[in-house]
Amino acid sequence: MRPRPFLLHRPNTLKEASELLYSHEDAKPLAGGQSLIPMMKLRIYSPEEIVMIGHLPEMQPGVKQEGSTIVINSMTTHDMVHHNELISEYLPVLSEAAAAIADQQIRNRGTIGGNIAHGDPSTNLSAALLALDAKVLASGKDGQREIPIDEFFLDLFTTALEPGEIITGFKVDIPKNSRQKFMKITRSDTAFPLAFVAVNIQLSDGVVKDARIGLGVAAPTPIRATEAEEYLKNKQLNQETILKTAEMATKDLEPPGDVHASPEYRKNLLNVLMKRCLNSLLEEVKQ
Amino acid sequence: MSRAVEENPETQQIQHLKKERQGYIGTSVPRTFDGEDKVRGFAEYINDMELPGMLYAYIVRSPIPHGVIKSIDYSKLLERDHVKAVITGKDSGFNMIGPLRDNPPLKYPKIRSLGDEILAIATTDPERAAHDVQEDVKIEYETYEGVFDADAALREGAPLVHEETGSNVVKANFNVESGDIGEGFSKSFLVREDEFSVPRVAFAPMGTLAALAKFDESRNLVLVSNTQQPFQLKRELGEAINFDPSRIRISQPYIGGTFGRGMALYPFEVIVASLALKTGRPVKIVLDRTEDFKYSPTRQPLKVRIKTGVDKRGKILAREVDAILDTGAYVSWGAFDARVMASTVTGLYKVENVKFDARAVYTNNVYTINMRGAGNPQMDFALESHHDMVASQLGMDPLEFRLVNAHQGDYMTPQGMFARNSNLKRALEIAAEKIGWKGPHMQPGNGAKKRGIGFSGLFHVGGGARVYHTDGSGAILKMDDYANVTLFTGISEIGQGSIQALSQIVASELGVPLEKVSVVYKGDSELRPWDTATHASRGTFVNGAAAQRAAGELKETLLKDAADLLKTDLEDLVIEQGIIKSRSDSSKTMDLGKFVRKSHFRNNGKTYLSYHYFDPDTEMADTKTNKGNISSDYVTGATAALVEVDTETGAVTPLKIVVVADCGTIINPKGAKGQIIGGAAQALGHTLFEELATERGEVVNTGFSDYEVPGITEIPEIEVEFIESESREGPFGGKGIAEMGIIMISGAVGNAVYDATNGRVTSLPFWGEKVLKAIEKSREPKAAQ
Repeated sequence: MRPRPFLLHRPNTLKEASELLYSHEDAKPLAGGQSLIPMMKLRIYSPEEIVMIGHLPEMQPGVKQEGSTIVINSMTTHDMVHHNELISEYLPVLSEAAAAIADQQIRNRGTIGGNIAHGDPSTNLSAALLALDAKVLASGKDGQREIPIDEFFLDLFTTALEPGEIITGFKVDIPKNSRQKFMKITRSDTAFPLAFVAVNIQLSDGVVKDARIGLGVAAPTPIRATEAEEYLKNKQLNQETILKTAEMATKDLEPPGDVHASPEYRKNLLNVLMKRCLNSLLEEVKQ
Repeated sequence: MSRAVEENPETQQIQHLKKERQGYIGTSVPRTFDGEDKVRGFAEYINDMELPGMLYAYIVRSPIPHGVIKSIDYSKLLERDHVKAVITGKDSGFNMIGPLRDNPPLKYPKIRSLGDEILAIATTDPERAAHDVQEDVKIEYETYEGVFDADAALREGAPLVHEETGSNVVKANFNVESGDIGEGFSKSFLVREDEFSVPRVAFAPMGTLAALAKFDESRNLVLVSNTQQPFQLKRELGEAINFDPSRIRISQPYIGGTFGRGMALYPFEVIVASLALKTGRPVKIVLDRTEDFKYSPTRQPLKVRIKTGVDKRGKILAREVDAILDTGAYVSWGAFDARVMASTVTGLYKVENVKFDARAVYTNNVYTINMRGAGNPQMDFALESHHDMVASQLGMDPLEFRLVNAHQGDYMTPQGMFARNSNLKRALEIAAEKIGWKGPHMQPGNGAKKRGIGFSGLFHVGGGARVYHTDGSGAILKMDDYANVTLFTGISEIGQGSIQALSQIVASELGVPLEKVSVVYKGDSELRPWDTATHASRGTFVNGAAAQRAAGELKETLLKDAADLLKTDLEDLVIEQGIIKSRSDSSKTMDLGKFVRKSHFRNNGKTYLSYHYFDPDTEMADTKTNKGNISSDYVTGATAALVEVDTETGAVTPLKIVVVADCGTIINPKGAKGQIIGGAAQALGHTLFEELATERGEVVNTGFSDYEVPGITEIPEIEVEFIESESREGPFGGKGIAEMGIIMISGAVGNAVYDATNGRVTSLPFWGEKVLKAIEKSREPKAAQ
């Protein structure tokens, strides 16, 4: 099916784009188009106006280090996130999450900004950025602001972006002594994942100093397993603590159920992934 | 060699030819005819076709699955300038379509499934039509209670889908019985009974459903159709619209895959034809992907109960099978897959005492049609799973169990199918060797990930299938001034690549370079000779046999005339690489093209054409007993699957598949392997991913993001091994191959999952959640193994 007719805007500046989006309530920004275009083609969603943002200078693909912070621009594609040296070195969980997105064609077109702005609980990068305590850089008609990722996802397909606000990039402080892992389960590579987990732990002499855990397809929004994170702090990473962490991370979850998986099965998958992520990090530490 | 071969001089000749192995037979030839156009996007499909003055059909479909139309009013619609014609079931005058003539192309007043065609518009602007029908078309329905699975439909007092038939059971006999099962069971050491089910799956080819009706310069009605049976379709269409079939021409474009769903006339084809006649303009319809998932016929859901009795050594003494097929709201070929299921039940392994009962049941679901394999993949899964369960209960190696019961050599099945040179036993042995079988539960695991191997066997038609009174096909050959040969064939090229094999057959038989052979295989079917249909793995077999014989006859005519010209004997001459040569005198040679030119540029000249009609030496099954030798040859094969099962998530990952296929002489090894691998990949989808979910008759997962088909990353190494046996009538000894890949996968993978985990999954697909439950169940103390 083709999308319904729509009006296409190509603003010259970021400010213009924000103003357009602010003043036209039905307008939607278009970056890589990997979520918006399929929805429009299926006519699940038919915005009357589209604002192109991919060409704006502030959005252009790029990853740079500013002191102890990594800055990732919004139009950086999944493929670039996967292969970027800074990300692979300091934020491997993000690189792994990007590598695991669907197929190469989608990774070539899809962008980190679009992935997060969509507010879909089944997008890999959301869990990774939660685990990394990222900040979302948003630009609106009244200027720039930084939104902590913990405050970004409000509900299914609903984010903290205000009308007219556009994600221009992300900031992540380089974690120290960090071990990170991303794992997901899908039936086929290109399908939406059944469940995924992103883990970022700070270790000192085998003791967990800090932990952040992002869970995907576990709730209406991407979420953190905060209780499990608290439990893990100052614990030795071993079989017992791993089992307990997985149990705590998943026991109160009420994941969505659909034709692909029941809530119980999703919960089980999250538990298995949690264990496997931590076990794999334990193996890493041992080596 | 069987009696039939000895008695038939024509088949003796074929056997003789086969031994010579001439020309391009057995050579891997790349896909020169349609490959590049398809890959580069130059191939013209129906969606690409735009014609001057063309209109589009827009169909208003039923939003309810069961009920009646109380009133219908579309008068306002006629005032719209983009609307050129409107038809409904109330005024169309259409006749019913389908094998049992139970499907009105436009429904009125009875509605039997969601999406039933109610009203059709010829419009210049389908977007506006979709918008305007919301306001301009007023339909009042009375909703009936529906039946949405076979069990519900069979219940006492269930609502009737077709009231006039008095029952939801389709009036068609599929039963087969032979020997005495009572006696067989009473003599058995072990009798075991199991139940299996296979869900509804989508055909999901790349090309969605489409049709275009137009007129030729003689004002004949032309239907451009993605059909697999152009020569039968014209009559079916004529009868549906009360239009002289001799004024109908069927044209086939490039077809984006059909997998069996091109075997019947569609309601939307009747609709575009009728709208074209009404408006005098071309009318096109292309279903989008969502509509294709929602409204196109599917493979039928199957429930089957299998009871088998065996002796101590595992020999099958009796078998009883009950199958229930959900045909949906109408009968198309989906119900008739029961016939193929019967031949699997009776023919796959030796069984003297056997009873097969099948019922096709009407429901208020979308109707069903035969998919590649035509029931065999579903029944093979059930039977081969059951065989492993029997073997396990006997404490027997499942491979050994199969070898005890497998055929080898010539045999007649209890259904009257005469298989020659069967190689099931050998195929199983080769598959076991290639996969590295060491016995049950012998594969090393790694933590939560366990490995296992499973087997399945195959029995299928490979020499056509006489399901109509004809199973014939014609072939015409024409030679031009430069010795280029054109083959005119009625085959439908639906992606299988048969035309490549046909060109090899003609070039080899005639003795011309392969690049000299072109094939007319699509477009106006009136420019091509009759073909029954491209189905049942018969394309290369029947059309190839016709082409080989036509080429042989053309060669003989050419050589006879050349012998006169060169003043020598017919026997002295051969054609090699397009050159006529004398065996006795190497100075006597003549370019074939030059010879043809000479025959054109003279008085009393001649042009070179040949024609052969081939109809296999077979019989239709008896309508009462369903027995008969419907195919000229049968194919056998075996599959072994090595899988890894994650016992914490239930995820099944196939690691390696070995398919051993005996399909006679291999004409194009590359094409043959492609056929097997393609079928196996499709079956892996049915095994691991695909289930079309419905809720009260409505398809829920209507796109590839919710209905997963395997991609390249989901397909493991698939090793294909051919056993070449002799076929009686096929081209150079070839048999059919198209369905061999799809049939065995589910059974082999299911048995491998069991071998790995002791978990038995009795329904497809093997989603992790289901596998996990089966593993958990196997760990319960009292679980029946």
